Amino acid sequence: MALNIIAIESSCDETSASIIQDGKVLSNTILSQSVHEIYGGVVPELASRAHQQHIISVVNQALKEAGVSIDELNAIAFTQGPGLLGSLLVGISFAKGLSIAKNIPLISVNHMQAHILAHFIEDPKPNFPFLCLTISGGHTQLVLVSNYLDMKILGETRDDAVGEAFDKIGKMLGFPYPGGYLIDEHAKAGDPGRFKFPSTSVPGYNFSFSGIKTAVLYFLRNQLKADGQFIEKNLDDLSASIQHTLIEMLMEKLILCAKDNDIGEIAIAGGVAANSGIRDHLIGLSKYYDWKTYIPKLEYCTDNAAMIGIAGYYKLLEGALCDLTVIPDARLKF
Amino acid sequence: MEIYCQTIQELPEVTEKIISYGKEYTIWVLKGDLGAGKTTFIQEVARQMNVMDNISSPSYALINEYLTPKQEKIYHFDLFRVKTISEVLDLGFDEYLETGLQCFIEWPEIAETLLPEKYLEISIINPEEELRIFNIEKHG
Repeated sequence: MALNIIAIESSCDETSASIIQDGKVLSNTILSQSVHEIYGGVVPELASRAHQQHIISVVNQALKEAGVSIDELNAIAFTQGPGLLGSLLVGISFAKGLSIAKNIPLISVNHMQAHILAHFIEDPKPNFPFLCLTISGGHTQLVLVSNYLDMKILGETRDDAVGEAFDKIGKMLGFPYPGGYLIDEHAKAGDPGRFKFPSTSVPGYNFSFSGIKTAVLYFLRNQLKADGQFIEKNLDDLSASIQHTLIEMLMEKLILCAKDNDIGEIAIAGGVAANSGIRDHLIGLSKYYDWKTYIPKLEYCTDNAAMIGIAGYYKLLEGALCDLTVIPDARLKF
Repeated sequence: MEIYCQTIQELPEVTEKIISYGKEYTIWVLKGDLGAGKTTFIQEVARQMNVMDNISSPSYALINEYLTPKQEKIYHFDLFRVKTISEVLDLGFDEYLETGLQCFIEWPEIAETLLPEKYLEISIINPEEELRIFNIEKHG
């Protein structure tokens, strides 16, 4: 008999549900306009408690796409944290309700660990131990992954996440917010060596992206005094130079950490892993250092329930279940 | 009250003055452009309050929670990417404010009508290079 897990993700903006059968993803539904066209309503930009208006339709769609009925579910996995308390509450309450109604076990999942375990959705899968650089709008972490459930954070940002640095610098360049991906677009046509920005280095494997934001601000302000059109005239070179600096700051710590731990299995995860400059840079480094690198498919990089389901699957195999007293934890650590 | 902070080295001293001036207030709102130093200032305030947590920007997460040594929560909001007041309400913003716990709110403009009578308003202006001018106004 097949083992079916339903997974719910509602930690921040995305409402998502996924069906995992014997460790394989059958569906990964993320609230989108297309789901709404079927059930009606509008997609909010910030979900928060609005998750509750959408969760049923997203779950129904995930079951339908998977061809699995609600009575065939064997377990329910959900995001316990970290995230926004009001958003997490919707997912956890739904999970508890379904667990009681169908008498199936509950599995709590750490959202940041799930980003890393997204690498086990499809081949090629990394070999333990590996290093994972998890980069998103809210997080920047370097994690040593010894096993599915054995992970250790070796470094993280002391202030802004790298995705936030991209988005906020994008705003300074006149892009809409969040516009980090537009820096990536413009960087393709620009010269990464044209402008130099001071990168900030903090001790150990930690990161800091607040200083570069300020450095770009000062630089642009000075240049705009001399030429009011400075940004428009140099948009591609500015984008390329800024992106280059941010990538170098990430890679410096990744290289250091890989050397110190003597690890050649390198993975990246999180929404910013979609950045083409980061992907290209990593591929270049892997040739130079003889690393094996792993980059998940885009739909598994951004927030999604399939990664929660895969994490839930490995927790279930280890018997790591939780009971109905579980509560969301906005500050959940691992 | 207006305080000049010439360089980042002066920030601890400036922060100490502001904490002392605003000690009656639990709700602090912070205004200022991108890169003005709102998060950096809150990091220093939290450090002086002996918060052990890593104070990071909540621009994406919207709300961060920290713990003081007395295990009291501190809420750190960033409403930069919030576009409507109904989204602010959806976050449970008013309920957080009613806890009576320390709240720092960056980019408060969208939620101004939801603020209680009593709050501290801090504006940070960065007219040139490293200079920061802190304007602190007591409301209520």
